[in-house]
Amino acid sequence: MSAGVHDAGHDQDVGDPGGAGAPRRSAGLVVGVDIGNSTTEASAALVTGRGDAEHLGASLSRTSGVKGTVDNVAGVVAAVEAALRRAGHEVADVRTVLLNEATPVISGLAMETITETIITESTMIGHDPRTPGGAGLGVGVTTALADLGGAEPGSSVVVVVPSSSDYEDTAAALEAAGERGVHVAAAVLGNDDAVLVVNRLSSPVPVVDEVSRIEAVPIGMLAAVEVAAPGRTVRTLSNAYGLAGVFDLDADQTRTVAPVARALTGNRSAVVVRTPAGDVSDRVVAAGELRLVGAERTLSVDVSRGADEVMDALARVAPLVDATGQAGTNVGGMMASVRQTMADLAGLELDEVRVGDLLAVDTVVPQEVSGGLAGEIVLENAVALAAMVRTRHSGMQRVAEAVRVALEHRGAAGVQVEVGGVEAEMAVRGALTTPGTDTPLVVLDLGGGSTDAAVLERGGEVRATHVAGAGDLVTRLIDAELGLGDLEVAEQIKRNPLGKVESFFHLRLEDGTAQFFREPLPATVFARVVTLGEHGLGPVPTRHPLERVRAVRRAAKERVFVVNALRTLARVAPRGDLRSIGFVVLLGGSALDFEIPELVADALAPHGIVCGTGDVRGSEGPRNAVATGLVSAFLDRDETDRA
Amino acid sequence: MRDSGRPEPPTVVVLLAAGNAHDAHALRQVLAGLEEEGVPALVDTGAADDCVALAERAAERSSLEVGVGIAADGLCLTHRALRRRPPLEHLADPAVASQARRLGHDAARLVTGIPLKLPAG
Repeated sequence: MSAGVHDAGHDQDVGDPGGAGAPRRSAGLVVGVDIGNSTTEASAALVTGRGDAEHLGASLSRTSGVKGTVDNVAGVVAAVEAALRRAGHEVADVRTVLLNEATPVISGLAMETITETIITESTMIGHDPRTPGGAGLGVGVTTALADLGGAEPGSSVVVVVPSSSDYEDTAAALEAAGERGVHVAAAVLGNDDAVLVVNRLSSPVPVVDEVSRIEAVPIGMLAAVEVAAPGRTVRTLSNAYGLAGVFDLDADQTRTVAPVARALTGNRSAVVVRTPAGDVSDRVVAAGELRLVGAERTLSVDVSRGADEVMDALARVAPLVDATGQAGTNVGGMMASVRQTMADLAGLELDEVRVGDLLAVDTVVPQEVSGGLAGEIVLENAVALAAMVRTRHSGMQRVAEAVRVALEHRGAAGVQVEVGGVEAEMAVRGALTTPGTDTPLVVLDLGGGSTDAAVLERGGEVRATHVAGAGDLVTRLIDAELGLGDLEVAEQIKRNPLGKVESFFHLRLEDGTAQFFREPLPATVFARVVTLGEHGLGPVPTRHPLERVRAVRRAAKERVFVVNALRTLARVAPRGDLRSIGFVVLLGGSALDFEIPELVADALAPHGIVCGTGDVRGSEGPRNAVATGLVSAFLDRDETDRA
Repeated sequence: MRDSGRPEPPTVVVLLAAGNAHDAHALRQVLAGLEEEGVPALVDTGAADDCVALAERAAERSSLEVGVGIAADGLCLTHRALRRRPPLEHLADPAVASQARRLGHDAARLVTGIPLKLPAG
């Protein structure tokens, strides 16, 4: 079988791996090596004189250095040694080592919020403390605790209490004011003291606490404080007409306070202060335009209109030649940072970087409100962009020579090291060893930076395509949507099922089952949502319930991998018709994920496609496909030579 | 323990060393933490003079299985399930009010099943 690989949508011929010129040997030990972004896999086989191969052993080791650079040698040597050792052989026995020509893409990510909520003049407090006090609605003029003695009898006040005041003193001062005939309608506290203060009052009033910037609460203004009963949310202050009633607003004024009501929805407690020019505005940030340059035409699309419009425009200009952001805007900054990352990775000059594909995803990101008094968090809309750049040069020949020197040094005299094939084609060959598959077969390689697809047609022709967006984008989405600020934790959430620690000795898994432990669980995970990783439990630093974390995780995977599976299949499928694809084999690190394969299979089932995780040679799972393909291609060439 | 025939109300038990060797401010802060979280507490004197032993006895006595010990050597919080294991939290310097308050919150949270505040660092 001889197969030219060319790139769907780009018609780029990436060469014939069976090219002439390389010396041929018949029998001996052959090792195929696949250098990936994170792991280096090897597959050892003994080639017999008849052009058959007996598979001996496979191995996996960590990739040393950036893929495609001479730094890879240490990882390659380790993988080769391990595969040979497993087969009962020494390094000295190896005759031929085959390396893959790496997928010619690298990727970058950026994320930018496109809405922004701003509180002016400290109009509202809506941070939802865990333990507010009292219940109901209190309306009065904001008065500092120190000035409570000067309040007129008969007036209604909302007392503003600094963090320096002890809860017993606060309660005593409120009681004293009440005895003088001052109507204490509510209180706002700096400390976490609301329940303590309310417990010491003869008649409870609503109290909101843990207001970190208590000194910034405007004094002498009409204010309303609402605390809902446990398990309920505020009713009056989250209702625009409720606010209109409390503050006696006309229709125009009601329109201006509507965003305040919206911002407080879902909270158990809230404070609204009526100031002359106070306002809560949620505005759409001028995110800027993305310029998509296609082969035939160019379109500009406003990123703040959301991911769907970006992806629509992308489909209309396809094939994409380059994409740039409008200078001086958020998207300009976003694209510049993506290009810089990719230039650094690929060793290109900045102006040589050409964006070959984009994936835009709508997301919501919890952000601290600017102008807030208590660290209020609101969900802002954001757009995440994954971009992909094709790399032209390949360092693989240099890597091959360095590997040869290193192996000879270890006793493998006369070893041949060659670049044995292009990754996409080798992956398809390897995948075809999965029991139950046949052509036309599509390999979906769900990687970290890009999603790659290659189709092997009945006639043996291979076409490949690469699109932006894969595991790294999933991690970024999880990190942003849960407001973690920690990619390590987000990575753990992506990879592992969740549980909730319910006692020192057991936790409840996300499927409802329980797990018991003989040794007490550490206090750091008590009552927390945790990830069940290989190295034990990892606490998730969030107030979100388990169900929410799970929903964010699954949605992130769907929006990246399901979307990209459909995009790539449409590109490689004959005439773009998904129904003409018989078999899809999932490969790559994300094919080992505990739920991504089922999410993708569910999405493809309506198209009549058989989709599953690969099982290379019926034993290796989704691993080792490229290494196996390299050996198999080597055998075919050998046979062709002798024929 | 009462023997009135009525069930004793559920409480976190706080045991103090005999002879008033405890820090009154620390006790007040621990109780404030428990009250703010809405969990009742019972205060008594225990027959031990180190806070770890007091906390273990308190946890034995508490129907909620959570005990706090306060003595001259500091503050301790533990849970009955952790018997004869290192206690959950041990403060050698109960003079820091915010630390004693936080320990009170955690005592309550062990009962209500809310993630603990735990000492910083």
